[in-house]
Amino acid sequence: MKSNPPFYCDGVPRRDFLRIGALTGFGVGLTLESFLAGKAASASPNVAGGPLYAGEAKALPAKAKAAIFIRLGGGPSHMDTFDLKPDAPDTHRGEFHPIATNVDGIQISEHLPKLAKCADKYAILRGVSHTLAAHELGSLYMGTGNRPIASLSFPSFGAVVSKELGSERELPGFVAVPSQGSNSTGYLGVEYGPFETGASPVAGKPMEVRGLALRGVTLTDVDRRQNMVEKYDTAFGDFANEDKILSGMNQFGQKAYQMMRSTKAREAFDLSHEPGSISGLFGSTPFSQSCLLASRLVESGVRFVTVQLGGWDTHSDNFAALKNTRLPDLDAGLSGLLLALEAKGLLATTAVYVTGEFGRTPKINPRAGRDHYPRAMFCLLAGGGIRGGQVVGASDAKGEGPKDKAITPDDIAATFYGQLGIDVRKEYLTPSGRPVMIVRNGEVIRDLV
Amino acid sequence: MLRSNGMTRVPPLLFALAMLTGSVSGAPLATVSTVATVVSKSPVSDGKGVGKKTPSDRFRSEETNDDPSFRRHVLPLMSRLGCSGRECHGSFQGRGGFQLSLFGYDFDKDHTQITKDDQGDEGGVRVSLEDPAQSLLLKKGAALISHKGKERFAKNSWEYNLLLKWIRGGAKIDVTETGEFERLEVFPKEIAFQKEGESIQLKVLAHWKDGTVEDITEITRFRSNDDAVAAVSETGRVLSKGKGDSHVVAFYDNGVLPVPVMLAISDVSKYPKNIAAPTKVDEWVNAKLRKAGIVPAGVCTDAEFLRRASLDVTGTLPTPVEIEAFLADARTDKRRLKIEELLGRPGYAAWWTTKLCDFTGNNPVLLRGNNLIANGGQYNFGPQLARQWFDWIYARVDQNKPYDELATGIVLGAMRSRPDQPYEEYVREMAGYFRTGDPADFGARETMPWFWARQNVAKAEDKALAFAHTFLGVRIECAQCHKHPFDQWTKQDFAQFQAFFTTIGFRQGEGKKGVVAPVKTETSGMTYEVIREEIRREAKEKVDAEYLAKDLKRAKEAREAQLKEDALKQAQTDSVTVAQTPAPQVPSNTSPSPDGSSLGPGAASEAVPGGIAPSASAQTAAVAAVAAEKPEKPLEPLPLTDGEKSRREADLKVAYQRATELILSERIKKGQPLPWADLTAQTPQSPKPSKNPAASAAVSGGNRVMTPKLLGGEQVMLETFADVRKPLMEWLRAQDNPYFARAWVNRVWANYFGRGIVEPADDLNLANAPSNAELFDYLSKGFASHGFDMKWLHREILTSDAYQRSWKTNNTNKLDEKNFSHAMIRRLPAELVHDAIMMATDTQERLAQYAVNVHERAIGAAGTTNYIATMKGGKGAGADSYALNIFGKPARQTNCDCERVTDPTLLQTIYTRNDPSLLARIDSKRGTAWIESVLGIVTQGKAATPATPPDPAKVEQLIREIYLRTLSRPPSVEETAMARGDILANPSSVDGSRELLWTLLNTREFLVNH
Repeated sequence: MKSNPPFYCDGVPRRDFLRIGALTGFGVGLTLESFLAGKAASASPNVAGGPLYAGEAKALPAKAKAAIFIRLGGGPSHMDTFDLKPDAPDTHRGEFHPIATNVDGIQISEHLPKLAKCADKYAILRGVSHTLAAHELGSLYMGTGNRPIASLSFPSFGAVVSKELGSERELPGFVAVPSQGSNSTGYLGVEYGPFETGASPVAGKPMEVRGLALRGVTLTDVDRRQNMVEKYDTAFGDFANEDKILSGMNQFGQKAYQMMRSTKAREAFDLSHEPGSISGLFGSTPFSQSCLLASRLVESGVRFVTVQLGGWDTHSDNFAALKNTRLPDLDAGLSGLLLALEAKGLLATTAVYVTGEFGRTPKINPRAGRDHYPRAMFCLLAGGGIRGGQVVGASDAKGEGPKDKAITPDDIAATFYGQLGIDVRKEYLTPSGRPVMIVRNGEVIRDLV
Repeated sequence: MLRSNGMTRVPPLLFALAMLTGSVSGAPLATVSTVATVVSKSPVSDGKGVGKKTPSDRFRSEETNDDPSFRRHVLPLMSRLGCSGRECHGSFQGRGGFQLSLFGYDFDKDHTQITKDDQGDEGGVRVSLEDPAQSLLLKKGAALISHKGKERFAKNSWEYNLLLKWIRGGAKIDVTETGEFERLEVFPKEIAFQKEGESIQLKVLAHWKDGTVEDITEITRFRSNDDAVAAVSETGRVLSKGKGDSHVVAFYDNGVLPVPVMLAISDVSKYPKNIAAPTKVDEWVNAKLRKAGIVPAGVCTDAEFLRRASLDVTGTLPTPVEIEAFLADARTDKRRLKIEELLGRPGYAAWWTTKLCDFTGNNPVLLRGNNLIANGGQYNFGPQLARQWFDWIYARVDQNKPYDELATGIVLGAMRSRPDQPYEEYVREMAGYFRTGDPADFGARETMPWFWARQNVAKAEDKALAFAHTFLGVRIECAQCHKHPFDQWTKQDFAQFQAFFTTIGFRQGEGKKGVVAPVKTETSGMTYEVIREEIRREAKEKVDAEYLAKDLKRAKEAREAQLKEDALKQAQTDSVTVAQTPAPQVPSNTSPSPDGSSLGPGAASEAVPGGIAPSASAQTAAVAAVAAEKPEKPLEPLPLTDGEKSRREADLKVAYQRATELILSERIKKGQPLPWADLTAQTPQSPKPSKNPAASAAVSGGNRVMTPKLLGGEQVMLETFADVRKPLMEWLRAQDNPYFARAWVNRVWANYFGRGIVEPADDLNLANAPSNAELFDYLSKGFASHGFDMKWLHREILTSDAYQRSWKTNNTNKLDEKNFSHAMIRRLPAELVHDAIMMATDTQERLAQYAVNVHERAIGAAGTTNYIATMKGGKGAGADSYALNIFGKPARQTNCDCERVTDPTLLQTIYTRNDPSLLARIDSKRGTAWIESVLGIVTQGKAATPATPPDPAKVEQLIREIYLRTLSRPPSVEETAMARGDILANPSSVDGSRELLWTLLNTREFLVNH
């Protein structure tokens, strides 16, 4: 007789709970499979603990092979950057004037002149809207595409991309410059976490990456130590090959060794190898140099890079802060990144997503500041098949909310993932056995792709 | 609603318990010999259900007189057919405009959807009473018209006829008429296959409260818990797929029943007879192993035992001295004695407090405490509250207080140390816990209220989920939205359980709505309002004074500026006058005239050649003159413009808040009273429990308050309780609570074996059956009957051979992961890795301190207060936080034990190989690293340089020391020889020792418990 055909629509064959987590489950099993298969975990079979496909989910054609996520921590004002309202009343308008860009009909802030010259490279999303006005919650929402809930911690973009796209042999799949901040790997578990550089790069200098930098250790030392470990780590004999924890640790040991002695891995972090034609596109600030590093890492084969630019929480003296430091820094770093990616021939295959956790109040407060305002914000998307040189969505006349239909963080996440060939309807089983889609409520924004 | 009314006849408590333990209705599990003998394609062998008509018998013809029931037949059939599945009409959006409740337990809604909703995309009605055969339900289901879900049954099949008959009968809902479902009964009760490929048909009987017993096999859903062991068809035929043991589960109505299924690993007739079972735990473990044909591993070595138990019990490596002593100890009961010793150490209290902080969710980030104090604003109590939480649990674990007492102190956590404690005494007591110098011992308090103070349990539903996870080991979040897929919980059950938590909360101010009763015993004037006002006034006065000073300064500057201006004008006028006046006429040394009309001499003399512009001294003189002209008026702040006013308002608001926070923090440091809130949990307004289940069900629909109902227990008439948490707690700690003891036993077991008897350890649900029901039962009942004595439980487990088995496997047990037939290799938990690295590299003198001074270690209070907040790269993240994060220390943010991750990852390997903090730790130059003493060891104080050839005996001593420090065992002869060669190959014995130490820290033997 035929045994247990996949009869029910939801009749996903479930392996024994007892096996999940213990060995074939989330961590080791999949990773080992991906090691053995030499590719991403997405190819894993359809078992509990592995990815499940919802009925209609299917692999999407990928336009991007890598992605860069730039987080503007603190929440930048939309009214003073990419969504100016010159006709709004004094109480709202702000001090800055719009300037024309190299795309007819698109205007941005006068303090973003370099970005104005390359507006064809990116799309501006206006009227993006949500309801979470606290930094932590807003960051979680924008950084995962899922509205945070108490019972489940959603994985960051980088964690999902690490899991879905894997990494090259000698390189980390996911790098955070300088750190990942509040977005964790969530229910996917720590193994999909980033390499955090810990510090921002300095112009022209190699970057010391935690654990990869060989401080006072030569390659000969690395080789000798690897040899030592192999020689002394023999207590479990043949059992070490049968036990998944032990064999998994051995696999990781091999990979760590390869990465540590890899010239490619080290050079990926060494900005001194960048030609002047590229490094000249950037400023000398930590953010600019982080953007340069991001472009270099992607060029080397890293799948996902997170870059942070903070200081946008301008409750007072918004205009001075933006004019003097934030906007020039963003202008130089981001324009440099887009131009460098293009010069390297990588823009078409690298999706770039720039966002804060929310916008800022359209009404200027008595201290010449603007406060948290999730109802209206902007985001930028570029590269990786995103159609640049356009504005998608709109806010109303005073920038107080979406003009028509709001663009949600979920939609942007679905679009961002979609460009990487990741179908957000794909389901993971959380460690507690609950099926959860990568993005639960998002639809790809058709105008962008 | 279904359970609430029938409580008196068959208590669901017992029922649930029976389900959990795998025995049904108190019937013992069938032993191997009485289990159905399985023959391929055999008919049902148990006669008990024979004769009951099956649905296919009853509805074979559409001409039958049998009437199908909506609840008993129609919905279960649709569920089995997959209609209400997650990917079909059970999805939250429905499909094709037709939406059924997921896992089908919302009878009213589903009935409405099937019979009344004509708004679907199809444009037709799903049920046509006029022409039943034209009903969409039938035409779609039989794929007579286009159906995305394809054909679910053939036209004129019994399924088709059943639905047709129901529609013909008026498509009525009959939930009240059917009465309550009682239980499922499955035959055979246990399946023991003889070989792969055999199969057997299950038979499922539904028992209803009204006495009806019906064979509903054909409309039962089945699931295999492990399809590598057995597969089950949709008709309930179980097929042996491979060796091992698992369960197949039957789902019907509210019933969930797992049936053990097994194919022995080896020939049970040849099973060895001489396997010792020195403890009760061993008896139960071995009984299962014998049944499954699994031969257990032998007992581990003394060194393995010492390392394993030290890490598992105390979170600490044994010291080299301790290892040598234990290995040399000739007493036959030395393991038992060591277990007793370990259970008495501070490390035991610290590690188990850390685990309890995981289970209870002690997270400083979620404990800011804004709700605890009036105008608390941004003041962050997190680290203090988290520390108190830790200390409070630590005191109880350390003194081995009963687990139910510990739970009571958390569940009934109160702010006042007794209900009638006067406010002043209360706030003075609180002040003592928070002052900087010599704070009072929070652990001495009777209760610990911070469990309810976390930001993520502000809502009643989140409190219910947290309580269920922490104390019941049950995940009921599914039932928030739909019937639990693997358990009996319905939305109604959740809503009624949640009703216990609606009024638990922190309330500021007495006499405010929601406070039980203002305390009448106040003897002093120090009330909440008084303290709050005092602080408010103090802050206001301080800020107002600052602003007044600022304003006066500004007014003064303005006045001076004005004076200057006036003087300037005056001077201009005067200098014109002066210039026109012959200079010699001005007296050269006179003071300015009293009326100020003339200028000073210098000014005049300088002004002479200068022409029109007045000089500086002329101005000074003019200011003085003008000032003298108008007698000094008291300065007053200048009036503010409208713009300034609004800015000032905003500034003041911020300034008051900052000043308040400053005063609060100063008061906290000094141990002065603060306006603390109260924690209350008064009885909510609740309706009288209804005798009528339908009426009770109706409650869930409206906005009326739910009647609180214990999970799987009884409705509680809250009117009789002053604190809503008390009946909850009484139920929780009762001997027969189906979860409380089990949840703890399972978590303790999971700590020692790497997996629970139920796995995941915090997911006790009916479908997730224990791998050894008798063992689970023995320990849980024993734990409860021994007064919830935690050390009793630890001893029962630790002294068993089952715990002390070797990892070395044989052919029968090498694939076993759930029957505890050999030691499982487990990566050390994050805190243990961190502390073990610290310890293995530390100086000889400090080693013994690790077992004693626990609080600064990762398993101590520091692990909670210092690290969790910064683990994810937050502010102040240091090397320790980084290590703890990548090794999977739980952030304690969600209700899941799975937050603790012990899988190995690449980042962990890179950490142990090459992380700067780890390398610096080995080589510390601050007198805190063992490596610094190596030179002293090899030369024994004799003047020597690193290049001096070491004494060979000393090199062996070094090697032994490094092995004991890291791997907790002496090196073998071969290892010693190898290490000697490697050390001597280095430029110095220091370099060689460092190399060996680094190497052993990077072996898997060091990083796992084995």
